[in-house]
Amino acid sequence: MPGVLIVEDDQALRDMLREALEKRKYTVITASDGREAMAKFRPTVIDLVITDLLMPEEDGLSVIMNIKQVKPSTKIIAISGGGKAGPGSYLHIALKLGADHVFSKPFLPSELLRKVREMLG
Amino acid sequence: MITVINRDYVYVKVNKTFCLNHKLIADRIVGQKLEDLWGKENFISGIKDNIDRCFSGHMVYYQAFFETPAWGKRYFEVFMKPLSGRENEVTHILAETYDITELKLREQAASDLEWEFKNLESNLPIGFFRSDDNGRLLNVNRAFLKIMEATTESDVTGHLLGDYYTNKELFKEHIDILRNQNKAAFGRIDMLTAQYNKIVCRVSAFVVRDGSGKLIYIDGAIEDFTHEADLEKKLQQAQKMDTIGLLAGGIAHDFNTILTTIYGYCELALEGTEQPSETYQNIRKIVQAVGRARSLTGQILTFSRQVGQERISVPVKEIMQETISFIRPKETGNIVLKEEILAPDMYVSADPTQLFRVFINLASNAIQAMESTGGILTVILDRRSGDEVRAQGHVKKAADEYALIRFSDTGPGMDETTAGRIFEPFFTAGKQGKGTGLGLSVVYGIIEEIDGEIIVSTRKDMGTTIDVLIPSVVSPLAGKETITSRASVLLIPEDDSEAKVISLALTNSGFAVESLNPEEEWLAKAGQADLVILFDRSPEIPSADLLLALSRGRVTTPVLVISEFDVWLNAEKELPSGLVKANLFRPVSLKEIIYSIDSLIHKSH
Repeated sequence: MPGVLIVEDDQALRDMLREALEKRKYTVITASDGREAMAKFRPTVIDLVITDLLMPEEDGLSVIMNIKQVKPSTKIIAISGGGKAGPGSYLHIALKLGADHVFSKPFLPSELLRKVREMLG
Repeated sequence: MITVINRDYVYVKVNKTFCLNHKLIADRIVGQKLEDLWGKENFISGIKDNIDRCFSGHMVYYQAFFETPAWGKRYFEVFMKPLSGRENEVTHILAETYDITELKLREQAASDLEWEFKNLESNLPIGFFRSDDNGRLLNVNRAFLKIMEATTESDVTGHLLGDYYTNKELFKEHIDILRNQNKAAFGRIDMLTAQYNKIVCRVSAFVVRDGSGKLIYIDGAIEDFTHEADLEKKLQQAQKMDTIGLLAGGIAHDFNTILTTIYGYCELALEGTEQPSETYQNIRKIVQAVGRARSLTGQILTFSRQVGQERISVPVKEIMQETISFIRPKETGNIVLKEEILAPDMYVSADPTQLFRVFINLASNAIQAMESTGGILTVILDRRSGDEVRAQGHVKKAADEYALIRFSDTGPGMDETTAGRIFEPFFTAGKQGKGTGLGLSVVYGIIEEIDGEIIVSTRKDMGTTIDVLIPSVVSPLAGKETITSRASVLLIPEDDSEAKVISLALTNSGFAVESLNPEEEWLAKAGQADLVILFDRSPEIPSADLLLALSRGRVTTPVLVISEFDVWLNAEKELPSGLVKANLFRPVSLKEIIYSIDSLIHKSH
């Protein structure tokens, strides 16, 4: 079964996403920040990374860059908090850095799941 | 200096002072002709006539400038007295001369100063006044009259300065303070001029006491600070909004995360529940509530300017026209809509969808205000020069020209307090329960972000006029946007105001846009386009059928559906899988649309 790595600092949201994905029989690994994400990322297991863009410690853009360096074929979905958080826009940059799709919170998890299914087959 | 002169204009007697001043001993002067001592010119022009007059029996007094080798130019005061001999005819004259050069210079300086002061006084907008110890005005200058909008000094003198104060108690306090402290400055005094106009003034005054210490006068200056007071208020308001925005924006951000979690568990719960059951319905209600919360956080993020608009050159006329055609159906029998496009080619740098939203909001508010009474809503598009607007103290920024979009209604108007607060988030002027009170704060946020200003003029029972001023930009040159660099987009349907605005926005962003109604050839066109955009408007979901048609026709073009968030649940269930699709919920911004398009197209290539 395809593996998904979820990188999200909010615990409730992280748990909800894990539950939703595990229900659909995906293998799920979770991390609460960028550093933990890179430590837990196993290229042979993970096919898709879902990452929040704004987190303390290491932000989502770094996660995207790093994952793409380690295993460029990894699919990436970025999640943003719905606001502009600095000069320029994270959404646009995320796409430029290699994210395959971006969702703005609050998004419908069913939409996310459909996207995941699309990406992983 | 004293001298005695005879009929031959010769010095007969001179005193010591005279000698000292001429630096000659008496012997050298006595017997000398006046003209030899003073120079012929001085003698003829200044002295001789006076001497002759004195010799004819008159006392003479005169002042004159004399220039001598010894002293240069000096000013003298001369007294001449005829001296009679034994037979009572005048034989000699006695001349007393005083050097008044210093005095004259001081007089001149004082006169210059007085003149300068008078000049300053009448040119500076500072009103001066003198009053008695009770504050009853005795003298005022022209500037005072101007500030108080009075015509002559007599209109004003005799009145108490306090008569112009809005708060008479405050005046009494001020007089007391002056009596105790001898001088004081008072800022922010609300006053009413002689023409009953409200002004805000600053008064500084000091007391004048006589020899016994008794207070005889209060002298002071008054300045009109109305403009500054106004600007200060505006600044405070803007700062308040910024603070609220920052706070709210931060919270909204975290809220969005929580809302996503709630959504997710609701969906999970729905999966495990039977369709027509009560539980199912209850959960759906939760999802709908979350949707409203989402809309709220979206608005908060917009007014706190934390979202960032995607700006392009927007032809304002087009947006205004779409606003009017959107609003027109809402015109009830007793409300008339008038449109005046006085500057048809104004362009501004903004997100057309946001501008549309702003205009719809302002127009709707006006219509709502006239709901019960009926009336006329006039919408005007015009231009204003930067100087014109700055002269009225309206704009803080420095653009050369502004687009003016005016919404003027003949409704009940607002009182001053309400008018000052309408852009405050969560402040509602209307009845409770009508909207969340965020609408106008969002309008404010959007306009602020594009360096615009909103000016409200209103009076109770006299209607309201809201002016939106946005810096204008030069219209994009034809051919500047290379359409081939971006994708082709098909919009369905075409006769919808929102669709037209989005079509305009995408065209000006470099997309090749086509709009049509889903009739004959639409499937074929959909197949050729890079992306299809569909519009749902609650409670109808035309997209459901259209998506089915696309799926059956084996059209694989990605689809973007713009809809009301509360209908998605129904639509989702019946959809065939395999469609590459994304949903955007209103209100949508150009930025969101472009991202969705980019990621949908990017995905499928």
